[in-house]
Amino acid sequence: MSENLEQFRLRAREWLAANLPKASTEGEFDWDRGRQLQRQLYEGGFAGLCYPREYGGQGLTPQHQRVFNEEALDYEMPVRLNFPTLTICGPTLLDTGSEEQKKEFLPAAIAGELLFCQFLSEPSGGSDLAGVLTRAERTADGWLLNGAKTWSSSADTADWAMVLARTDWDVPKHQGLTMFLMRIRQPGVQVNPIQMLNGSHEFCEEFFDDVRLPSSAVLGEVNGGWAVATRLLYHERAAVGGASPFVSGVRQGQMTRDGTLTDLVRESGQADSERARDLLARSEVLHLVHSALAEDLTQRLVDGELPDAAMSYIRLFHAEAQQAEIDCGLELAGPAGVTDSGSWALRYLGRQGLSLGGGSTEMARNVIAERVLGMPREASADKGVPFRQVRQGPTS
Amino acid sequence: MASATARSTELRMFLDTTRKFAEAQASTTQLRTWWREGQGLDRPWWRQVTELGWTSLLVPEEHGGGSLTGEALLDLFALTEILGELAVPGPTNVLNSVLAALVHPKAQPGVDVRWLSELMAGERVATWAHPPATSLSAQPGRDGLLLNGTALAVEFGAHADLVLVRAATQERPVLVLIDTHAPGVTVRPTQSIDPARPFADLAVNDGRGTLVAQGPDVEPIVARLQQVLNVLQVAETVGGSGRVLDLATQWAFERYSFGRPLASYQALKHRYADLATHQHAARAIALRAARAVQDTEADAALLVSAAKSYVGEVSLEIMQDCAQLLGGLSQTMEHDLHLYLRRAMLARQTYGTPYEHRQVVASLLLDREAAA
Repeated sequence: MSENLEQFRLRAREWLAANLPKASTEGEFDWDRGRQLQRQLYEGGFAGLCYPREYGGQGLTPQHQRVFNEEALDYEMPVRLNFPTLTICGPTLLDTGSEEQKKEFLPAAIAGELLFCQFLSEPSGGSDLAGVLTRAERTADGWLLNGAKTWSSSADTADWAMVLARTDWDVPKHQGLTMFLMRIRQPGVQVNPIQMLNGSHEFCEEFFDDVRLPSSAVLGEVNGGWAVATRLLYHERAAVGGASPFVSGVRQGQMTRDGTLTDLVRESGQADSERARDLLARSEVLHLVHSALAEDLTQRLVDGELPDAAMSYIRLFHAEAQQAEIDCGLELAGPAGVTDSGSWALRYLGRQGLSLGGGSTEMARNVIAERVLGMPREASADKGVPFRQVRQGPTS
Repeated sequence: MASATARSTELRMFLDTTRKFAEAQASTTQLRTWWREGQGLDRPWWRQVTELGWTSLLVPEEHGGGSLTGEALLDLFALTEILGELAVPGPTNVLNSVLAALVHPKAQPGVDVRWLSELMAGERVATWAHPPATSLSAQPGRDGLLLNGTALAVEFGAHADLVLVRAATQERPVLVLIDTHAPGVTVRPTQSIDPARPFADLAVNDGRGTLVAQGPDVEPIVARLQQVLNVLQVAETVGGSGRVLDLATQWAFERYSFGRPLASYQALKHRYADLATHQHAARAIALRAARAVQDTEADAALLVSAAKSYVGEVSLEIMQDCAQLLGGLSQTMEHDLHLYLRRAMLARQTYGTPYEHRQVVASLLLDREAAA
């Protein structure tokens, strides 16, 4: 029996109404509650819509996911499980994992039993990801991990991590990396939340002190970690830009949005001001353009009209649209925006995070210029040099 | 009915023919000749153009038109984007929009058969008088309606045989086709920043008009016309800005300074990345608006105004930044950039500026949420 999109929509609508509560005003995200909601979605057949059936998904199309997201907008959804578990780590496992790894991790992730995080950036650098210094050394029965990572979203609430480590120091930097799957809560792993400038605790830093990993922890090939990282980055750009086909419970092309500008204009009594209307529309137009761009790029990547690197377009535009919204919000809020502990002031404080997190927009511009437009690569002093000889600071 | 693949093959062939014809018969060299001769529209050329089907896509098959894929506006979008890319002159946007109004289900029966075939065949040209610049009253005369007033800044106004206008009788709004050759119509050509897209002011003194619609039927037809016109305008504009960006990108690889191509400087690479992002974004919202109008989505008006305001601004920003990257050459008459820039300027300023369309967006958002 095949079900068309409209039938699927009706089935989703009925199931949501019967099983999930309507969304209340967003407070702090409760991870246990998130896992429980994901479990309910899983049991109802509405989790992992675009994942293959053999790995716990539903084997449906991005159109199904979009329809589901439209229907789910008013309901309480486990939205934070999207990043990075369902939209970044899951799809990367799908692309690069062994059959055993996919069977072990994907159904559990889709069911909300296993949350992932990414251990990529390090205190010594983020943009130059292939320059990581965390090391993994072979032992008789596996690997020994030492080093430090940072900017890991939600590492304190996740169960497993994908960690990029250097396994060969005598080859150029891209060739000596390996990606590992590691359990976070184990001896030798220390996770510290980072307090951000607006008071939030979205990220963590981690320290690894002789952490033991089994041989089966390798994702992809030994010293083939860059290929895995490339898939991670691709899915991350899509997710950060709002164009991931795996994102669930959030309208595609739109990240979660607390308090809209429309509400602000009305509640501050500016609905009749032509100036306020212009500011509102400036921001809303960019959101509409962003949605259109996300849809268009997703389709054209599927159709093979554009290279994967074109996902950087959406990463770049997303930051532009979101920052414009924050700027308009602050302007519209006036003095109350900063004296009323308003959310616009807090969002403005963290404004630049939108063009830093998930890879800086400078890197996105390099990717577009070099890999989409075909312009010459930036000169790099570490090209073809064994990593051991690459300078790591003014004194090294 | 042909299969979807066959239909899209047909569209591809149609677009290929369009491109070949435009490259051979409407090159920018020719465009410059028309300019020098002050010729806004070459009628024999236009009749040739209409044989290619550029004016028949929005007209139903029973009236001699027909789309290639069943999604006529999207077919026309693809065509118009190419016309924009090659800076092809002619009244295709406004004429196709008037045709969309004349075949609207709410238009008076009989209007279509009188004019459609002649308009599609290039024997007559019709245009549209944008309401904010139009002030016309109508009263019943012996032979149809008698009109009095003015219509300013009418695109191809001096070349059109028929001008569709919105007017008002004492009782109700009316939509009327004015015959510009009939007594009572004075046409005064105005300057246009793009001589191949001329404008004119019309003064009407007991001019004669044919009724197209009246009362509550007027606004739906006008809305449809304006949506089609705005969609075609953004399609043409993104075609143009895409072409300018291609020229500037090619230049980055060919121009060497200090022993290396411009494309190797990171400061410039980042500019190109931004430009390419904005060009993709402009095209995506233009296409999204076309899709919404094609499918008569509830959000069609919102998306059209979003597209018109975004494309109106960003197309000019793209072109001016490309001018900067192209250097002094871009400031000469010889370089093609100004052909595109002029047309994009016209597009920005006509049928609603970005600011005006943002006001529409805001009122749709605030009114919709108030009603919800």
